[in-house]
Amino acid sequence: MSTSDRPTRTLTALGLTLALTAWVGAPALAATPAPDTEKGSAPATQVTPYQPSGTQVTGGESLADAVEVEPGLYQDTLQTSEEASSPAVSTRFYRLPALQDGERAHAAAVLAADPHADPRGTDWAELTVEFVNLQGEQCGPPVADNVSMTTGAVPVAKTATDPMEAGSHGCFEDGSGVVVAQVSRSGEWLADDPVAVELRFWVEPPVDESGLAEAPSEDLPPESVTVTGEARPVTGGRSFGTATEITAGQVYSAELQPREASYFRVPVEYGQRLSYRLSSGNNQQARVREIRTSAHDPLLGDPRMLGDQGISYTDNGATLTRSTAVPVSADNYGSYSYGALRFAGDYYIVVTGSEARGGREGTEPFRYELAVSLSGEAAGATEWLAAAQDEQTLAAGGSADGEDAQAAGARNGGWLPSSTELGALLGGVGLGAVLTGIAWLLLRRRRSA
Amino acid sequence: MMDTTSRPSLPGTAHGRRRGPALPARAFALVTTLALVLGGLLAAPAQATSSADPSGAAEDGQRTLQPVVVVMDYSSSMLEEDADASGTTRLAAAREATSTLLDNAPDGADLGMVVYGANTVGDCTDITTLQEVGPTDVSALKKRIAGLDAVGETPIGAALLHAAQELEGIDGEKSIILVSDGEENCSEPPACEAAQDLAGEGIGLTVHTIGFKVNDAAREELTCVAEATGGTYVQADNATELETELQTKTVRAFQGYVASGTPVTGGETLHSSPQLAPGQYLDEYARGETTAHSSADGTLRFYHLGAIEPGERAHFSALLLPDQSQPAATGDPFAGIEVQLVNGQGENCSSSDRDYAHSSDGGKPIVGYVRSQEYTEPGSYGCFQDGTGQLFAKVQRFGEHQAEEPMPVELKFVVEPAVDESTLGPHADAEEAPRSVALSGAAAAVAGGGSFNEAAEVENRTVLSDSVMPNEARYYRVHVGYGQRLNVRAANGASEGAGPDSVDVSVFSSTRGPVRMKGDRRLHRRPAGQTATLNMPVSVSMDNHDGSHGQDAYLSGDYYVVVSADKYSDDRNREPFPYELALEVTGQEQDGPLIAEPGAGRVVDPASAQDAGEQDDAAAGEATAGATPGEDPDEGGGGAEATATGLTQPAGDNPLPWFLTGLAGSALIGAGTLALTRRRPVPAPAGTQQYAAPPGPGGQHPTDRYGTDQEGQR
Repeated sequence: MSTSDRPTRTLTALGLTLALTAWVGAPALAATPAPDTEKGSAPATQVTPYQPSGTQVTGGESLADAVEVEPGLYQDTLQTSEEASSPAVSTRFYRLPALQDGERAHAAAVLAADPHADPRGTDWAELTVEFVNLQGEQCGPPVADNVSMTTGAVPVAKTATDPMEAGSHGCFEDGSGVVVAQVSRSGEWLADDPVAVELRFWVEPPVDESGLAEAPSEDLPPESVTVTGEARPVTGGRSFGTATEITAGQVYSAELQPREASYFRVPVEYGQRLSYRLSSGNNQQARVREIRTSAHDPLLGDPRMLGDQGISYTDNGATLTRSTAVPVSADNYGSYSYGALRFAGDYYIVVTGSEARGGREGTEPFRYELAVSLSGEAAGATEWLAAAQDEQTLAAGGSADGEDAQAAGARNGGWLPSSTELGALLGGVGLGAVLTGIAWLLLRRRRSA
Repeated sequence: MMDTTSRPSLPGTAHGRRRGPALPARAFALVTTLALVLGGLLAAPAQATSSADPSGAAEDGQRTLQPVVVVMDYSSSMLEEDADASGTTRLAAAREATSTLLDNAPDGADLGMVVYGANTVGDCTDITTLQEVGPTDVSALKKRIAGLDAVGETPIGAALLHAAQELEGIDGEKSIILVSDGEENCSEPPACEAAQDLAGEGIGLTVHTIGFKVNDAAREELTCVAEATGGTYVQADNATELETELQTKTVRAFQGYVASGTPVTGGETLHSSPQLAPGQYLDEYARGETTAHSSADGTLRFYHLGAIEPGERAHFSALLLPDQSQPAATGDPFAGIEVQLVNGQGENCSSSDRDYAHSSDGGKPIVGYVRSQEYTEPGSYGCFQDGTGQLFAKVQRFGEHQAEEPMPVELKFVVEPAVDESTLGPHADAEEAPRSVALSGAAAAVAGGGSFNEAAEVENRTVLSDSVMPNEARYYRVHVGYGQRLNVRAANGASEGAGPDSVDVSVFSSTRGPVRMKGDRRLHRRPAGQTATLNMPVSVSMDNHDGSHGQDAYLSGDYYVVVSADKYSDDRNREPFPYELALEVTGQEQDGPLIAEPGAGRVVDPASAQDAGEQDDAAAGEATAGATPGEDPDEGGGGAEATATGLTQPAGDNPLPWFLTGLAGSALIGAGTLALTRRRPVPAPAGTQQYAAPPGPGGQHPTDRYGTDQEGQR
């Protein structure tokens, strides 16, 4: 070997070694947990409360003053009473466009409460939604949701009218098809303070019931979610509108702080049955006492679900699985039990953290894994709903195809490269350095020649 | 093949059969399958030993014998003819005892032998090594012993130092067994002083002494020698006692638990768990808790038990095995195991069962045992609501004892077949009265097994004698049929000088469920003459499977009696704790219930089940662990892998673009640097000519390369 070749070869060997080492070693390096995420130190930042979105609107204070709204996503502010000791109800009215024959209106309201806003945190907050006509006749049952503001859960109330049938007795007897959504906030929790309310309105087109089969009469057996594999870190959204899209067949890992909620969405088509699994490893050092989960249909109603809802910090290695009682199907239209499962679209999974454990116990976030499975043959989404959901998602700052920044980040495990990718990157840098070095040597030799 | 004479009987397979309806071929196949599944019930005793060798001499590798040197007195006083009533000399008795010892010494035992006073009259240096520590040529050694006289002095102190030299260089615990019929008469150095010096060296040497027909002064001296080194002193007043004591002290090897089973590695999550067929398995749990009672970060494992049919019950046990060679730890921490059954959704299918043992209970079996809930029909609430019958076992290690050390965990999975409920009677509504075990007669020397797998088979109405060492347990098995009741009487022997502070007597069913027994279960080292009697609260009967009495012992089969040692005193006394056990099974064995076709309540011929059950249990134990579980409706086709390892890589983890990005970026920077360097006016040395440098590798189309490759990967 000529001496002149030595530096080149040495440099080459060094570079290749560097590249190889980087390729092989970086995964281990990258696998070293980041202090704040993997090791789960105490939360450095405050928990983000529910993030309401939608067009700002101020509802009428009386039926006669109801503000006109189109179907869509809105936000308003409701206050309950001047005196918490004798809370009164604060109500707002929103008038929808006249329904046509067979159409029905849906309304859902979410109290965008910050559970951390009241450190006492033991009071209840309630939200009620109902439809009335312009004469004040009820057009559907008032639906209330009251929540003890000790957890990350917030009140979510949803109701719907019957199908418009001009001249029928009751709501539609006046033949106008005009209905007004009446949204009320009550409860002692922060009674004196205004709190944002997220509102959603839909108009469901007429349904030809003659083409429908009979709805199921009983629950299917529960289903297991057998998805396995490496869990991918994910951060849940902070509202229904910003819910992080997750896909079936993938295991996700996430964590919660006390009184925090994470929102996920899963597209479910007709014919499919949604099941999801929450698993806990060791959360003995978690600050959260318990996590709980709920599921919502695309209209934020409560579909009938089977399975447990909570995992305690003491439940080492616990798994809970929830399944829709039956698959999503248009045939569920008239079913008392499964009516909410007639909408094919984005279903929501909400996981909430409870209050903190007493006595300053626990310092870490509650870590869990989430996996979803969809059984049954997919047969399309509810068309009118898909468009409406996309619109509302866009209005909330997400993207209709699920590629909002948060979801994309979650899907890809964040912008940071994986361990393998980091190894590859360093390997590439090493090789590049070698090539540069060789070039430099060649140039130098040529120059000196 | 297993020992079919002692296997647990299955429902419907017990002695005396009932005839069921005619047996169609399908039912026959079913019964055969069931019987094979039931192999798990029959697994444990397959290799049981029933040795009459009281030494428990090792036949396998798990029994550990310390290196030992026997120092035997051949002084002239050994010629006294008072070893027995017939006038046998002490010398002859000593030769005989030594000969028996050599015959019973385990193969490969590290045994040495030193004698004093065998050659020269009046010589305090007459100390001879007959056998260096190591494997022994028994016949040659016996010949040498036969040629020895008893003529000399009693240089005990010097002989101890001599023997200690023989053990020099051997690490770990080791011992000297000194047999003497008199006191030191050389004092070069004095016996007790020599022992104290040896103890002070901290070399793990213990001296046990046997006084053979000694007077008070010699007894005092030999006691001093023993106590100085943490050893024990015993007295032998005749040839028989000498033989027994010499053998006990020398070759009573410690018998640790040897775990067995098909190797398996449990899953880290419910659905990544390996599928197990009924049988016995062996896993290893890496660690215990960082902080007992609170961190709960001990190893957690899951096992997929597959599906059971309506009417069947799953029995699952996990036996945690700490390192028994370690003495009780400071603070007496505990190690434990928790077991629970869940279904595929994580719903509980059993209560959880926890068992633990402190380090001072080193021999106690730590068994977590669960039985699945009643599975009456598909769609019932709770565990079986999903209608699949799928079960998973969840097992977690806890406690701080040996927390950083991996521990074997022996798993046993048994499926109990459905029985024809119509053949069952009402369950017991009260416990039976306590019952004395009135067996008498000479106890037969029986060496209990060191594990469930090697439990010594014991016939009904046996009185046996055995001993247990610190950190050790002895296992026996006895058949208890339907209609029968197991009664155990335990009594301590000459246990005052024993290493264990007490022994615990416990009973386990053939499915390794602990059986609650009426009566005391503990014998203490002192005083002598303690007796404890344990009775099954009710007779074994399938009728009791859902009752409030006898739920833990409703299956006919082999039951295990386990005697384990507790040692909480802080000394190195490893003397065995001698005891007697009397095992009596009362009541007439009756027919078992009829096996029903799972889920249908249909009765099939139990005879077929019995025949099928006589298959080698290994067949059932040949796990599907490591094999892909069969398709089942619950698995959705994407089911769990058979092994827990090998989690899939996350989708989209493609390193190539990152590599090329790094390469291109690096090359780009390099090219830029080179370009800048080239533009810098460098004064040419005299006589040289400047050339325009061609673009370097890093400077050639970096953008194209970057963009193209990136695009290509997309």
